[in-house]
Amino acid sequence: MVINVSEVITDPDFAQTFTVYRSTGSFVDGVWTENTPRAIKMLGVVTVSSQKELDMVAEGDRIRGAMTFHSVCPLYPTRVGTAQGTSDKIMWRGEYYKIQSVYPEVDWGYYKAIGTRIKGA
Amino acid sequence: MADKILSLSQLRKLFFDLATLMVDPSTQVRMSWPTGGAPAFEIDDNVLFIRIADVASTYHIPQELKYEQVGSPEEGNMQIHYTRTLRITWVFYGQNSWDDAVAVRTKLFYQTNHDVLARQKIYLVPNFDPPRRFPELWEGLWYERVDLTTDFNEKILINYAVPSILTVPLVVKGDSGTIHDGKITESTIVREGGLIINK
Repeated sequence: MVINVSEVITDPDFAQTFTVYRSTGSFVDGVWTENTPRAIKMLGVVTVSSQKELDMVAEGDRIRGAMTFHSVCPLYPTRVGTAQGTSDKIMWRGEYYKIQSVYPEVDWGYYKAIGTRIKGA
Repeated sequence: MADKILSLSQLRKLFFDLATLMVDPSTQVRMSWPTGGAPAFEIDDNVLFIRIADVASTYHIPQELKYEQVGSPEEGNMQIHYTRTLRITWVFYGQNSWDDAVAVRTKLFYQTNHDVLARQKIYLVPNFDPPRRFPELWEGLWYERVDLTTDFNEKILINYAVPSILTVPLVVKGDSGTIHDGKITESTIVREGGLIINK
């Protein structure tokens, strides 16, 4: 039996709130069309995955970065099937992060996901 | 004559509708490069992806310009006619991919499908390569994939209004100073200080 560490994830000394936008959708005339996403308030630990970094390209400066989100609620990447939808988008401190990878740590009582910042200008 | 050129979204809809007429009814038709990403598909799903691009060809360079006076009052209008060559790449996945590709290859020549495109001034370039099969390895399984690349010539018509001179500022100065300061228009005859300027 593994140790359940979910208490740490929601501990006020570590946790903060963020909003997860979860969307489903369908293909309309061959184009993926999202429904209005559902906003889900979550409490968890947010840490840096990769720092904000500047890419100087010919057309201007691009900034990319990624954050790691820990939560006791599931976080989803893009999924196919009956409840198909694109990756969760997380609003944290005024910026959106799209889930790129999810670690299957549920046996330890939490979910861990890495989201990359979107609209990277 | 109004402009005749399809937008990318109109082209997507046109080829989506055409594809659904040609492939197996169970095959889903989708557009490649969804802006915000999209769910993919499972190994048993039959999916056709359509990619649209504009490419160089034998006919893409020549332009025909035709000037005419239109409207009332008449204004200059230039018509630009040229041919745009569209490259449609059909990417088939699934167990039906081979059969779907063969169906598209064959049915593009059907008169009814020709007519769907001809109504939009789009015509198949018939010398394309046969479907190419190359399954993809993904998570330990070979996903069936067949590609077919076809070109279409689209007749384009663009109008633009030709700029014309409407008024000309005119200042006439004599020994005693300015005797006319005004504008000459198409219908103006100036009589000022004994000076007559005909159109």
